[in-house]
Amino acid sequence: MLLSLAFKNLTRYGRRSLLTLILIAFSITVYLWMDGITRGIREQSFDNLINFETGHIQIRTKEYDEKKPFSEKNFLTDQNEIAAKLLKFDFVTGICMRTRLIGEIDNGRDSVPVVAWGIEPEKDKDVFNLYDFISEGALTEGGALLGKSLASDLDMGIGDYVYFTTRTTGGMLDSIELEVTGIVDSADPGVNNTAIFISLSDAEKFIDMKGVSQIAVKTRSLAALKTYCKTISEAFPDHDVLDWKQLGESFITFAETDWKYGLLFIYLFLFLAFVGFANTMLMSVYEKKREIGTLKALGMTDLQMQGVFVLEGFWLGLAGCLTGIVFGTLFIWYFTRHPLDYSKIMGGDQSNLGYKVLGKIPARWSIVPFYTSVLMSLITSMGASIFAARQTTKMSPAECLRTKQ
Amino acid sequence: MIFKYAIRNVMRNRRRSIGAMFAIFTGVVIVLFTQGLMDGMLIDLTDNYIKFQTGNFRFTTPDYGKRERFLPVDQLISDTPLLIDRLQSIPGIILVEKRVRFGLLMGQGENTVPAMGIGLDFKNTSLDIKAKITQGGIPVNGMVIGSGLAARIGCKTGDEILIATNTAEGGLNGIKVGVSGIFKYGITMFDNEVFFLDLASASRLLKLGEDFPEILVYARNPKAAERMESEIRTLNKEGLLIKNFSEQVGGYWSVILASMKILYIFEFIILVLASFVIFNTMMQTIFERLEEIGTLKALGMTDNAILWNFTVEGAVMGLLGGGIGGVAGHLMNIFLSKHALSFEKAMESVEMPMSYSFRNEPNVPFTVIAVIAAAVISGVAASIPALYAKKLSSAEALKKV
Repeated sequence: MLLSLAFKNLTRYGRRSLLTLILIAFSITVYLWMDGITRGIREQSFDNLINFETGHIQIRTKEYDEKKPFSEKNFLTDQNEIAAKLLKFDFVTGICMRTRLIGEIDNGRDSVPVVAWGIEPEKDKDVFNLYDFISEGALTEGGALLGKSLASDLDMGIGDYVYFTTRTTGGMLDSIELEVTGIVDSADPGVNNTAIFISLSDAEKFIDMKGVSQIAVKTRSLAALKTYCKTISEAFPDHDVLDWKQLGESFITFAETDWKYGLLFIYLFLFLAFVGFANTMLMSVYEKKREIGTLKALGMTDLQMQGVFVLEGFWLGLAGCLTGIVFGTLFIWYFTRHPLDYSKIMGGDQSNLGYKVLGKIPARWSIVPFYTSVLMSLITSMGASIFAARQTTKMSPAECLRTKQ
Repeated sequence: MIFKYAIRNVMRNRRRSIGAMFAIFTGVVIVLFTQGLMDGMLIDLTDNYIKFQTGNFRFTTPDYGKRERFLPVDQLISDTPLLIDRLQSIPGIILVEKRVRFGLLMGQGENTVPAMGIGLDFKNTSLDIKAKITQGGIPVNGMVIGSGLAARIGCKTGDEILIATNTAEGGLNGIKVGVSGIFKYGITMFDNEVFFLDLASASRLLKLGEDFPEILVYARNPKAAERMESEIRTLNKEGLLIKNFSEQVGGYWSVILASMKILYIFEFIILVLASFVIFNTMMQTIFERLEEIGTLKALGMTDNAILWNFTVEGAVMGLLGGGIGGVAGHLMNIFLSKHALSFEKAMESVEMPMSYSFRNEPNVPFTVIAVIAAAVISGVAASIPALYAKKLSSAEALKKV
């Protein structure tokens, strides 16, 4: 009965209920829309991090230090034994070895620092997506794949020669001439701007030792990564075993902080909705003073009286939330079909604003913002209603009935 | 008289009026907070770009402009001292700086990281390096290094570092330079990658002589820069490339300006949403006062006077709520401009010259505009139910009681 009474109260002042509903609906629509867009950018960035840089899991030496790219301690020398052991785990679906070098690339006129990855041409695709993004040519011995914008800035194309200068593990500067045999047009600005890829055997010649800086592993499921990591760590106690979240920690921290900051604005919207809601419910309480007096005089308890108003808030919050979900869903759907062109927004600039994305990034769906929306709108609406409904407990039936309306 | 009526009516049902005003108050505080935050970030970003990279104007050779990514040290502005003298004679210019930036792999011991050197005159620079020094001091000849970069290569003040890079003549050159100081700007990109070198050492390392690749020109403020732009451009007789700040920042700048426009739309929507409460309140007020409306109309009050009466009542609520919100929001921005929120860890991967401490920027004109907008939007919201009251005849109004 209380439920239907509350519902009836809502329809008594249709226009007021509608405006209050819009407050909640707008907040939820903006929240869902923002979540869809930023989730798309964030998750695409995470995908790019995994598919181009980290793989699911990496095995490195315990002493590995990115700041010491030429230190012998950075290189695994027992890589073949590790690889053989790794392939025995049933959850491992692919492995490959990579060597990371820092050096300068130059075209005889200009030079720029780059990260050079020594990769296994046949096995790299078992873990990484690089090969799907080779727009021209291929990687061959003595050759190099260049990121598209790096090649363009250096004015290099297939068949041109570049010089790559780096240090050996002995500390000597060494420079080799590499033929540009392929161009990578990836979805990761880091790869396009500052990466070159050479064969692992060429990288070994460079560092002057038979070693690799990492073994990247692809597993059956990202969800079970912690368990897999633990199993691999137990098998290789003398090595560092890290998952992609540990490897990309600073980027993940940025992405999560950025999202939390975005959420702050949603909370501000919701607070505004809370204030509007409380105001509407208070007006509703004061308007119905005589009715409250009558109902109380007929024996309705304070709790039941409060229940009517809280349920009124519940219905209104639910209606606002559902409206917001409908509009929010439409927005997300639109932006999954018509992705935002991140590169166009950046004016063709291949730099990044912190995210590892390029080109068109569709919005992404997730169930999380939907149930969060329901929860947030009900908390907002019922919280505001409880605040207003408490006023009824302070009213005596006689006082209410004396009120002139 | 209508204004007096409106004030009196607002005071008649104080509790309800306070509720409506609180919604406007909240809306204005939210608007001022978001605007203060965005203004703070924008000012920080602009300031850092101008100080570190663009000046208000920058002179380079056209080829330098094309190859800027590689920081080519062979693209020198011939007769740099003469051009600087000429620029200094233009009224309104507060500083002219010659600089050279160069990229290299910097290392000490086994540590090697990519870095950027900036050769500049420590005594004549827009960068307030002295205030940012955390260890050591500013050298006559030597370098000061970013705190993150120092940590990454494992060096401290007093160490000597060998730096080697390509010269303006095309070969490779290296010199040993002492680390005199360590700076911390609070900008990850600079603290982790940049070191400053005195002009003489930079010239010796890069074999520059008297000429430099970049001349940065600083005006007192952006408006002064706009005024002197044509005069600066007339000095360009050697076919140099002159770019103002926004021409240099390009894509980023468009993104930021577009974001600001979107923010204005959101802020407008926030105030409209807050004004819904005024609408609701005024609607209820009108229904409550139908008897009064009928009586006043029967006594000869015009329809327009009725309309204005309720509209001004809504606007007064907007003005009061917005006014108090304006003061509160402005005070909050002042507080947050002095107590910055630090996001050092989160900003590590951002490749922009943006400080990792966010400070809100108090803005008096914007606060005034927000308060006026709150009053106007509230008035407009109140005018809708007021129109209903206007259309009622006195008999209709009295019948509805």
